[in-house]
Amino acid sequence: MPSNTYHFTPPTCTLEIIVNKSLWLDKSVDRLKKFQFKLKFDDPRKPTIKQVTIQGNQQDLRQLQTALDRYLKNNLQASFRSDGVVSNPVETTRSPYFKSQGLTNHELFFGSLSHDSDRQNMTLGTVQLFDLVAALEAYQTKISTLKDDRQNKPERKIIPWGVGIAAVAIAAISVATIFKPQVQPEIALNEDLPEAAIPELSEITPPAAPDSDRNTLRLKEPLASTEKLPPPPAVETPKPKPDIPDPADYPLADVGRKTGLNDLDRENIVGERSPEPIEPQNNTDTDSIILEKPVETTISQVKPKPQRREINSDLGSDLSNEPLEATPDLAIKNIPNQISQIEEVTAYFRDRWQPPADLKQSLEYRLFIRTDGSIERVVPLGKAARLYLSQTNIPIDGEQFISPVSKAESSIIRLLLNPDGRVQVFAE
Amino acid sequence: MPNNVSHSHKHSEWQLANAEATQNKELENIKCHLDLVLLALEAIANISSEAIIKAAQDLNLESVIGDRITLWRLRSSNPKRKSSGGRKKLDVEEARSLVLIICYLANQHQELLRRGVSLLEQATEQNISPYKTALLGNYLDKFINYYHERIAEPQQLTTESLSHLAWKLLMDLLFYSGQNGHRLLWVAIFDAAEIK
Repeated sequence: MPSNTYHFTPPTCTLEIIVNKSLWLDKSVDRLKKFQFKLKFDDPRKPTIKQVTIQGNQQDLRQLQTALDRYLKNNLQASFRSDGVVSNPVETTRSPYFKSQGLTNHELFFGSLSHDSDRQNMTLGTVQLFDLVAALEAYQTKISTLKDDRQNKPERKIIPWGVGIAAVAIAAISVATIFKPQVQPEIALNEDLPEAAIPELSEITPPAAPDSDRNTLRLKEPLASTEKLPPPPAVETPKPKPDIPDPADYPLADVGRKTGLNDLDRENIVGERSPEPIEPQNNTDTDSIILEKPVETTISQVKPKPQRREINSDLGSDLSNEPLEATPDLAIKNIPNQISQIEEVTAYFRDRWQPPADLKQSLEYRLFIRTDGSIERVVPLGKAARLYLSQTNIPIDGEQFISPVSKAESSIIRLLLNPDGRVQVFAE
Repeated sequence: MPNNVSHSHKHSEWQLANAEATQNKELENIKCHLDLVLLALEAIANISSEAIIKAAQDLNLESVIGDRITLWRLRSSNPKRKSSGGRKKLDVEEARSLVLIICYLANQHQELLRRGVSLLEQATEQNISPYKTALLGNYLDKFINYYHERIAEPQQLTTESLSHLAWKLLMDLLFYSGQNGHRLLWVAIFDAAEIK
């Protein structure tokens, strides 16, 4: 059964949320509430036999979260008590709960949670507990982002599979027919672009921890009131503006600039040319509908700085002398049979690319495609791309992800995943 | 009838006065707690006054903490401080600002905090005194020194309980360095203030 999996991977545990895709079609259920989770305590410092996996549904995860919140609150308060002792409440229910154990350890009692341990509890170190908190926070952020997107996005009509396939086929044929003669003359020009023009991204600082607090403060409320004051708003960690250009700018985007096309134009052109979902299942995949909308950053006190570097004035004046001919971007200037390859890759990632909430810059990868349509090698371009590789859904296990290609075709694809949800694909 | 009104008026006055006293007491507790957390952060990460002021600027909190004098007066608002007297009141806005600054700085030093807590875990597991490692030894020395220099508690803590407090605050700081650290600290100080 097709499903979407979200991974949250702090160093010592992995939280997987598996959403069954068939539920996306069922409007009668709250889709975000129907999922399975798997929580692996895969601390690399511990022997494999001590690594435990917990799994269950959304209800179970909520129970775990509640237990963790309660324990953490109690634990943190203990530092300010005169005795300094963490009080462990007596638990009588079958719900999971935590107990402090010594100075640095914490015992998790599984309760009714499914697990693969031969014991009813496990011991977590403080770093592991911190990572568990981080994973659950990241999951909460993701859920709220998805909910916001769903609320903001108007419902689309679901096209039946048959009609969808026919539409895709017609569109694909039309595109191939219309653009085939026009794109060929451009090939030589594009291949002349120097490789060195690709910016070096290895120095980009990975994004700092995001802030997702949506609460506002009511500061004038008296402390003695029965209602507790809400927590302060998120700390907006000012992030240094990367001094390195967005990979989307160079080298390919330069062509777009010279031709007077901005990103939006380029995207539109690619969009027009690519018959949207290539795979039949994409037509019914409302997941992509939700995620197509650029993920907005959560409330912050400071507006996020634009990451795209301004064109310097000299360059701007040079460019202003260029004739503003609306030539298509490089992405569509490749040989026609690459178009389908590019379209397939675009469609693939358009469905699957879910920008992490804390992502502030584009991720760039070079994909080496085998002739059978699977990925032979992925080369992340830059530090950020390496860090976020596991969250990109790039099929790195050798499974086929586009149609088989002939040997004559270029088998290197450059993939740009943008933090606003856009996907750009270029042939190299 | 007028008696009833008068009685009711007195009652509400009493309630107000009581509420104010409770509020003041709670605020005093909050001052102590925040000062203690900041002390631990200073000890582990060598945070200077300049760094705190810079953090305030980064967070657009200059109106609350704009210079060293304001900072000193703010920290002196801890009633348990030896230098207490320069400043007596800490309002909610100031408490909020300190929470934000602490979590911001903790976040900046998250890797260091993580390393410190990992070392503490290892040492505990191997039954080694944590202070025998350089990082934790320095931290403990500084924490105890700062504590003795600045905090004047009537009931002096023993070295053992002070060490325990230092380790506990180090682990707490790791949680405060997380994405929702400010929320955790806010809830912890307010709930702890109510307990007392």
